[in-house]
Amino acid sequence: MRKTLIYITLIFLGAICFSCASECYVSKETKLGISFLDSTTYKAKKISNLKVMGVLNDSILYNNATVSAIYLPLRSNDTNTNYRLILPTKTEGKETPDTIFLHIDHTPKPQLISEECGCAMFHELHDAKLVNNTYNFKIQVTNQNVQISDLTVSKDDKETNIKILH
Amino acid sequence: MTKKLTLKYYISIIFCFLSATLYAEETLVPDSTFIDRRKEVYQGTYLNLDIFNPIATAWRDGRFEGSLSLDVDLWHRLFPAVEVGVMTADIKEETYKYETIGCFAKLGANYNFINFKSDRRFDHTFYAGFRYGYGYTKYSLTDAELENAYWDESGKYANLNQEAHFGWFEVQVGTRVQIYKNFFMGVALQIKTFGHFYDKSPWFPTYISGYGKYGEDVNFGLNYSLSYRF
Repeated sequence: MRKTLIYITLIFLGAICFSCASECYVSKETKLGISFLDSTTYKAKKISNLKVMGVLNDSILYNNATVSAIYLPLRSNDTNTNYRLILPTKTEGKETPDTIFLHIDHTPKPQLISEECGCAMFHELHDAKLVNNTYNFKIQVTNQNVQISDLTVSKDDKETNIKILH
Repeated sequence: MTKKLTLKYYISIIFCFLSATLYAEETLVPDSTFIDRRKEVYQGTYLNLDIFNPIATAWRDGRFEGSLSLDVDLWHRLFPAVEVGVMTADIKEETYKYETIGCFAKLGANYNFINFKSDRRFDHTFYAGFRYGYGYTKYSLTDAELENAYWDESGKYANLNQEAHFGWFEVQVGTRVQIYKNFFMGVALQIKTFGHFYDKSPWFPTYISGYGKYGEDVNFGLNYSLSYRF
């Protein structure tokens, strides 16, 4: 009888060890990644004095930044999101900067990452367009999945979803 | 995402192997009539019922998994095997509800390293093997509470009736000991890796039938089974 109890205890101790919870190692933020590339070499090329904000939202996401990639939050309650990309004007004599509108079509749906991490909103990209494109940028969707990123991956190595060639 | 290999897995395996070995030493001696089994190709078919995973439902927040496997003894060295199983879960938390149901199948073989002499008294085995696993999982996420600070949006969201077809490769290491006549008990450690979806989708099941939690580079599993040999 005593040995039987020892066996049962050993089995359950082993099983309990298997069931210990782990920690969350990912960020729950999901952002649309856009990288700027040279249209000839397809290598990363920084864009200067870039200001980015959402349409109907005065909060500035990037303010006169010089970057080769930007990460933008998509809307959760709608299937399209619009941004303003504000750049120095290309038109001679014009004092106000050029505003290019970025239109994104996407489907938002929640995803349970894990019981430790909880939920996050993922998106499936369908289309991306530039309106009032005075800079003649070319735009390509390269990854339709807007998901979480691993906390161990540096910002420079994060995969992007859209490439803008300039 | 990477998962640290923690000491807890090795401790649990040591516990389980120890308990199986200790129990085997106390079994009754089966019929000792000598049969030269070296020349026999077919030496029996084993039906194995896993009892560990159904019991583990008690501390897995209601996530149930059960499986049945069949393997054939050839020369007491090679054991081709097939396994089928099911998984269900109904997880209710404050910020989400998650339901899933699925089934899986594995195909492979084990190789026995011990105890294949003609004068053996017991039919114990200690083996290593491989499997290819396939799992079908259907899942729904409801009442997921999320906030979007930049766009000032919040609410409860749902993602209903998603399906996933998933495959993986598995290595098994285990032992099966003869308890009494045609009754056996066994324990096996499963190392699952190279998981891949058959269809691309932005969304994925949190738990995959037969594989475990998605997102881990390597998943570990444990079987503790009761077997009968035909």
